[in-house]
Amino acid sequence: MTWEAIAYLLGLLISGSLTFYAVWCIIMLSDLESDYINPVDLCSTLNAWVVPEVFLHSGLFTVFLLNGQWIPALLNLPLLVWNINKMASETQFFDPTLVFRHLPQYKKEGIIKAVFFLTCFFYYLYGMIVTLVNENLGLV
Amino acid sequence: MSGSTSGHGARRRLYPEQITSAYTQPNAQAGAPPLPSSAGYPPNAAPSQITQAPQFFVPGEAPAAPVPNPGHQRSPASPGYAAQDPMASLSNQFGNMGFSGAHNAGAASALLAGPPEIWTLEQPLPPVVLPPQTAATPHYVPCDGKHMRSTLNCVPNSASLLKKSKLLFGITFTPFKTDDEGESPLPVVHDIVRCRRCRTYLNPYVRFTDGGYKWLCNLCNLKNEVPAFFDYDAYQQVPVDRFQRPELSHSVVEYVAPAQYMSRPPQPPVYVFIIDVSHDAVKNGSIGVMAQAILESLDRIPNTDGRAMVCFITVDSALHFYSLTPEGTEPQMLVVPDLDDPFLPYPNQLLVNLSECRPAIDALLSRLGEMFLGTTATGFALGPALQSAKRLIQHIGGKIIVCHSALPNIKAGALKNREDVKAAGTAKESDLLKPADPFYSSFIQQVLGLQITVDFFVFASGYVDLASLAPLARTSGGSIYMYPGFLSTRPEDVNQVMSEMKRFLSRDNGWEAVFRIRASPGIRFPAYYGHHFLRSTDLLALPNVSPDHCYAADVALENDLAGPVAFFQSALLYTSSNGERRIRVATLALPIVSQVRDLFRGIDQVAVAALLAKKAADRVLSAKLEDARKAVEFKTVDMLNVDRAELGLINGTLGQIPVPRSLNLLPLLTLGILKGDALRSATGVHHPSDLRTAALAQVLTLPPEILQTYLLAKFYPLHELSPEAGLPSDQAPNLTQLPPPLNLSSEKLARHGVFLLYSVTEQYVWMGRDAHPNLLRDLFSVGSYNELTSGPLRLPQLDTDISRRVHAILARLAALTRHAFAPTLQLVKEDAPAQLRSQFHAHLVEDKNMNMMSYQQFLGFIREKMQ
Ligand SMILES: [Zn+2]
Repeated sequence: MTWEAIAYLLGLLISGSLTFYAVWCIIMLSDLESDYINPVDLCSTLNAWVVPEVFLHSGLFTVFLLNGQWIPALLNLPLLVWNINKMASETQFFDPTLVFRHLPQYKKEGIIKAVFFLTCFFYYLYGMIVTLVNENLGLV
Repeated sequence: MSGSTSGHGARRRLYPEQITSAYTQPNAQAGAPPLPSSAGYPPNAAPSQITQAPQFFVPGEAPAAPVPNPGHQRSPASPGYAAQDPMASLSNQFGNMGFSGAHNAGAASALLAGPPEIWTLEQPLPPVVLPPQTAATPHYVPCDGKHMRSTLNCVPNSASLLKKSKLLFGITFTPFKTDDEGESPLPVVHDIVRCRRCRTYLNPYVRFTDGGYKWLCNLCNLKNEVPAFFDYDAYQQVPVDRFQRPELSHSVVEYVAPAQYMSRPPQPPVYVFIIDVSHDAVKNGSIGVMAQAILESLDRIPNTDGRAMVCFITVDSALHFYSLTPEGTEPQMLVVPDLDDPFLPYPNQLLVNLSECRPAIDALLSRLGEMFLGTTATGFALGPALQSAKRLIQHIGGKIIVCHSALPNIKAGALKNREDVKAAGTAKESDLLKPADPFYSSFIQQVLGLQITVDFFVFASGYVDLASLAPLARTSGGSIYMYPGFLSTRPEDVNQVMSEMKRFLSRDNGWEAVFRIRASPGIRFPAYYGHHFLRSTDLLALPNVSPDHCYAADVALENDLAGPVAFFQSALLYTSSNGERRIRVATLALPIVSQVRDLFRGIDQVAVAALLAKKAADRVLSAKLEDARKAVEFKTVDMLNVDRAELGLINGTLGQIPVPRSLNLLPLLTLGILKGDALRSATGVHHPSDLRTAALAQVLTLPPEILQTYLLAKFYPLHELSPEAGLPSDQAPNLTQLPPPLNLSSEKLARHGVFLLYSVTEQYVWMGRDAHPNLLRDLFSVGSYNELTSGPLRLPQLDTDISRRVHAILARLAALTRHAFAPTLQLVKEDAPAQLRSQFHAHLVEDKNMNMMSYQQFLGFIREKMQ
């Protein structure tokens, strides 16, 4: 297995888990809307995962970049820029006093992320298979 | 004095001779139209300026009689009154388009020209006209606008109708309003009856069915059982009349809540005072004044059952706690210099029972002023003090009252001076209104569930970064009082602080409160404004609910509304200061309409402007100042630019645009919003960001009936008081009548005149050079203009008619705000220092001032945008 295939495998794992994470966020936000959870608890729960998410995603980007896999790197660039921008303006965390005001926006972000990571998941799967097939072709 | 009301029966403005001739030569303008000129003090020399700029009454029409009880009269008590539509007659009285009859009342128009008809502000709210038999009993008291007030006194039947009308729909609440003078206390109910499905409280609008055994919920239409005690008193074994029950005869009632409405036993009221004793506070003398104000309020803190607890923390570069014991009269000061992890020495002796430790508390407060006189410490460690206070009261909750003069500048929560004069008018100015340090937002998150409120008393002469501190008050239901440039050597400053602080401490508070509003199906509240924490989509958490605070909600329609009437019910669950859990419930019924013109008939412009201002203030805190201003302008133009054909408005000649009569003051109110301290453009004129933050808090919390005066000051000519002004009215003997207000324009200022201007947080007397000597003698007890100096004015209590009436007017104005504000009366002579003059002139919003448009220019701007 080449580094390229390993990167795709890593991407597969990370995008898979981040898809689940995004869906979980949407569920949590819906719970807030229907009053199953209070904003203080919700925010402290979600905030614990903000940094790991960004860390995983930017790590994956770095791996693609180091491997010279330009297309997947380019695919992840917008989200990376968006994350950096959020960190820079210190708005990456959920604030219980403002969460209701931003609820529609948070849910939209969650849905976009879920769709994005799911798309990535299948793209990496395809990428990995193609790479592995090519590797095997090379062996023959 | 008594003669002034007798002798003429008609409501026309006739001037009793004894007043007109009391001081002056015959009125030279006897032939002039009967305007609010009148009795008193006309020019003693040749008039140096026009005093009575003709307002645009239609010739031949009687001028509007001043409304004896401006503001909020209860709408007709029974549906039987509904046949008559006072709004229609009102519109006809003013309308200059000649519409007649109730059919066209909503279409009566005003033109976007001429001076605004400011006196129409004083008119009663548009009445709520409900179909007959909406209420279960005809003899019920409808909801007063001071409790709950809608921007529209009717509800559109669909979202598309609301969209078509372009009107702003929202509701304001003052859930914990104190009783005004002469108002009877709210009825108290001991048994709670609620709808099984939607949890609506039983109210005057439910319907009894099935022979009186069931009640039909007016919100969700579910049939509920009527409890047996409605008709039979089992204890005394006598039948009772259910319609005598307060919840059926009053729209606002208070329930005593049983144990299931408590998550824990009622906690005692707790007051923690964090007092800045750093060099700045020593210099302006605020420590002694605060201590004196607290000392004098101790007997008035709501504490009927002797459970109230207090704690004092003084702060400079170190924290000082005071150990107070029931035995000792010598408070012991405990200094904690370690600010990184401040420990609490003897925690049981720091937060103590007010009644038990009274001698020690008295001793501490009477000495506090002198204790720090020698201090040179310039540090002010607010962050560690807040953390310690939190640790002290986190198991109980309560109020943390921060009194400070300095910028918090050391350890946790240290802030920097970010004020930038050059930022004025640029996008950077908006950043100064947002918090700078994450300490305070994380502190907020720590105290959110702990039932803690933070209030601020700010005595700063310089910058204190209120923008970073204010969110503490905003999210916890706290208040902000600001005294810029306070000096204890000025008696007027001391008086103001003393009376506002005493009122603040003696007012009744609700503790551990939550507030919810329910409405008929299809109605939703997408956003709330005011000092609160939104705990779920429809539940406002208020660790401490102030009687002065108002909350507002946007109203959205999700689907078409069924039925002839829509209902709104607010419920405030709180713990009273004497440890009783109570629920205050208010129910408002509004008719549902299907025509745009009916909607326009029900507009309450003051409430519209209040909501518009609150939305803008809220927007400033999350977006840019300029965006907020643009949004206000846009919405104003949008509302005025309704489909005129729909309303039957006829285009005037010369390209004049008729606008609905019911929005005649909207442009002026909007101008008041744009020129107020909260939203004013600072281009070219520096406007300190701390003042703006404090003003934003006022706009967010003031109820519409007070916010109206905060935006558009009351302006009265004291030399030409109308004959009934300052005297009790026939209808309400304990209410002083106010004179008809003047237009807020410097054209009204006359050389020979003396004027009063009142704007809730400021009040002024303006005096012209040629003011009549008799007036000076009777009102100020001086012989000439030169004997008075501009600045703080102590108006003497004189035994003259005019003096008594002016004092009565001032007292009535102070009562309008329920004495929450006690601004210093400032004398502005014609030749006053420029700064004082510009402070005064800033309130004359019809002028071109502060580099902002005049009223006429603003109308031009609106016309331009409308085309
Ligand atoms: Zn119901």
